Amino acid sequence: MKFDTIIIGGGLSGLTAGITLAEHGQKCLMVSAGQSALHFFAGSFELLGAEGNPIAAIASLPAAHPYAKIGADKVAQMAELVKPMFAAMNVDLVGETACNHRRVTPVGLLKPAWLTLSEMATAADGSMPWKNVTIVNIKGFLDFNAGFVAANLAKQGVKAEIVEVTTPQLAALRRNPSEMRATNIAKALVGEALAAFAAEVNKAVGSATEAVLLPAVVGINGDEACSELLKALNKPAKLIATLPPSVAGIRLQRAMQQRFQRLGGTILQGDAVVKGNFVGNRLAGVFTDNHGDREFVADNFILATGNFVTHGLASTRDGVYEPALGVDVDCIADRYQWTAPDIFSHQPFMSFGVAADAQLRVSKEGKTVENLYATGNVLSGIDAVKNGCQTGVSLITGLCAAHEIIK
Amino acid sequence: MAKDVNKQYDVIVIGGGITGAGTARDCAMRGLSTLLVERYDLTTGATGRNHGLLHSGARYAVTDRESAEECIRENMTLRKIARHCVEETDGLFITLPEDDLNYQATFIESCQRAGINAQAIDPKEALRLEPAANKDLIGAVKVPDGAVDPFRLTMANVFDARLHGADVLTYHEVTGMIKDGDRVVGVEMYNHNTKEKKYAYAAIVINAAGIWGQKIAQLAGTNIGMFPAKGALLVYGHRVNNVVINRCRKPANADILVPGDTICVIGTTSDRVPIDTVDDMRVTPQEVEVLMREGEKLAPSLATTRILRAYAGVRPLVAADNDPSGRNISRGIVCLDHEVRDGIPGFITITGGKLMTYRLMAEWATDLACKKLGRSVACTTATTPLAGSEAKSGDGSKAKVYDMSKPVASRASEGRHGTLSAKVDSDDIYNNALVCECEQVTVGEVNYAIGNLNVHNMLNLRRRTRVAMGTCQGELCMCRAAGLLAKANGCAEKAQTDLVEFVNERWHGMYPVGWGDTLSEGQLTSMIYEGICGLDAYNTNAQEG
Repeated sequence: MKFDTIIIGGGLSGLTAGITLAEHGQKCLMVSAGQSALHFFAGSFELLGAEGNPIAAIASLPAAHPYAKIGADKVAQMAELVKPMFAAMNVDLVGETACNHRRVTPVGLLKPAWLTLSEMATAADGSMPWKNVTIVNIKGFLDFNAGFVAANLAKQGVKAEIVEVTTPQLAALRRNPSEMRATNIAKALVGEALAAFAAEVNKAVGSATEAVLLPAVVGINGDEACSELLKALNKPAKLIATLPPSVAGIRLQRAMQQRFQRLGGTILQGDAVVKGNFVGNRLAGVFTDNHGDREFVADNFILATGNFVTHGLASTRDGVYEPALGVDVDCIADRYQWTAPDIFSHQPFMSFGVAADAQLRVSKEGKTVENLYATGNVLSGIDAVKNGCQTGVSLITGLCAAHEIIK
Repeated sequence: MAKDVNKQYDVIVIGGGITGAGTARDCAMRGLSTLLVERYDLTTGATGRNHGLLHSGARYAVTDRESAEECIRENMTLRKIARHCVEETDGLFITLPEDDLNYQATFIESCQRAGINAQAIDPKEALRLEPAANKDLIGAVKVPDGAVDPFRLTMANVFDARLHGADVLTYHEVTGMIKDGDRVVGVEMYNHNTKEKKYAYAAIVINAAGIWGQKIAQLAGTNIGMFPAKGALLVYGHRVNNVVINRCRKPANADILVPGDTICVIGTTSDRVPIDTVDDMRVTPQEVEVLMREGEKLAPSLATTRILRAYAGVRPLVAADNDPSGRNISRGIVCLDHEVRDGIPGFITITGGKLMTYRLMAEWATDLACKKLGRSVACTTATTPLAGSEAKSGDGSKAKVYDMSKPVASRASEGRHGTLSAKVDSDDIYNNALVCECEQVTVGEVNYAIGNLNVHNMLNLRRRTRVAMGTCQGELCMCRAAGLLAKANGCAEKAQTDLVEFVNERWHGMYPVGWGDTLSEGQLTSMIYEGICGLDAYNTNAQEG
């Protein structure tokens, strides 16, 4: 099986690279484990978690950060491609690269954001656009904490009333004690059930309310359910991300997969690369878990398997390694130096990852592999949480690697 | 000084560990009006930081016969009075090729002299009983060890004390003794939640504060030479063994592997630590190395089993000689009558001992208190089942009977609360919703704990219900439970600070063993609580116990 490019990893970065390459006529294969960090998507992309212009903030990043390696100009150039890419999938994003806005987190705190799904609640200039809101939760849904949201919004000067609603269709979900999760609710909230839910919300919301805030538990298969709900409500309404799993993230992943496939891309779902066939300074082919001895051959390869959480990186008490191809990683040898006692302080392991050069090419046993690029959170030098760049790095480096290959 | 609590008791018991809880129960059952005072949460000290081993006493048989005899007696008693806290697993003492097989004969003889039913069994038979044990073993002895849940056991004692009229104050730190001349007549307390002082009076004050008892004694004007012996342990994420596995040799580091609930625990180390460090016990890399190395000798499959967390407690041994390890100090009970010892009437210290002998310690302390109060009431704690362990009607056997038609969560709750699980609301779908999938904790059980089991924060809730104690160490259930706490207490602000502290508390046990899945779990925690939610805004990095 011969491809132009094989992409290892089916998350945000791999899909971004795959779509870009396929748009340029490349024959692509994607090997995807299935779930990805998009299942933890907070409703917004972040380029860099700074005040004001995120591109300007690149200057203060350490040299090991992928943005620093790529250079601020190129990051800015790639950043301009993101909105059009999603527009082609009918995913509407708000926000500008010139100035970060704020997203509303699942507990009602505000964090810097770059591009946000248009149905999600945001605060453009750091303050919320309303003074009186109603937060609606679904009775028995524990992964959206309306009380925390209300308490934190109060600090922004927003008075929030909390109401809980339910419908017979939602109550039915609760017969199984573990069914009351965001994705299950989203599967139920379609058609008549969605209309019934909207009617209950309208009944529960008082007249003094300027806007309604709801947990993002609609539209897992497409954005129709989302717009249907917002249209059916009497008041302006916005959604707030829930605790994982993220309905919006899963929808996004599906939309990107469909786009990739419509452009001719092939996805091996539920599969994983287990070995590479390295010949000289090049990767000739890869072998996967499900396909045994069959070698998948390509001119170029992209490694986009993510961090420890998504198993793009792995560790044992003997060290940190990259499990798919065994390429070189940047890390600290002494395992007792990987972590720090306060989880909210800098944790050295967070920046561990695959070593890459300015073109994002990786190395194996100290030698650059000419046709193997790493993108997204598998890269070293990123403290995605502290830097506020998890999704940004995925998008920008995914685009960068694709453009390197097309060049 | 505003003395807002002027209540007069017969007895004030200081310390919400198992000794204090047992003593409060005994006092209350003998009709004494009793107050139990705890600085932070119940089981914060050594009670919540040990193996959870229902010792048969065999470990001490060779070196400390008195302790061994106490252990086996209490072992048999706890099987009767605390059956919902006890798992009758049995134990093995295995001899490995590097150990001296001659020790086995001495060991068995000493056990039998102490009244412990120790039987040498064929190594093949031992491996049949416990397939996880090291296949290279050259000898094995079967003993009546078991597993005991110290959180459950303490809560059951506190619950019972309350049923018998005792008052219980958690988060009340004793900051001074009120004295009338030399006599101790009450305590001054600081309420950590309201930041206010409180006072309570009693004819007898019993110091059951474990290692912190040294400080309490100082407040009363005397001194006890405590020997703080730190013991570190590792929790593995699977229950690899069903039978307690010990090494048949002189007690040493990391030679006991105890199964409990869904996990197993290897321990311990033993090192003297300075008394001023006992509030912040961290497990060192050296301790982790020793525990892993020795643990894998007992059960080789530990080498490929995920380590969930590391923790350490401090044994309240009473100093005797200059023994750097503390292993040779008796684990025996020390009951001090400070009237006789120091001329301080009204003050008693109960210390030394161990989890296994808590009931006997309580009996001694309560006997002394009764004597001083001129009350002659016999102790009945050895024969009266604890709250939750009463026999159910029609339940003649001592075996736990699980009704398999009930949902898993309801059976899990019954395992945790015994007969008291009947008080957990499970009548509607809302109460049956799962908060914690790993440990099968429902909304009803969380609300029961908040309402009945002295729960002020997430840490308390974890210790009462096992919320967040499973393989994911609370990834999502922490946030769900915090929401229920906020609802019950009507304070979202405090619940969020509390949630953040709790996230860090879980991490404190994870970072010393931060590799493999535990490291990935840490990254996910960071992504969710700081990355997605932004809750680092509530991080004060304050720690409790």
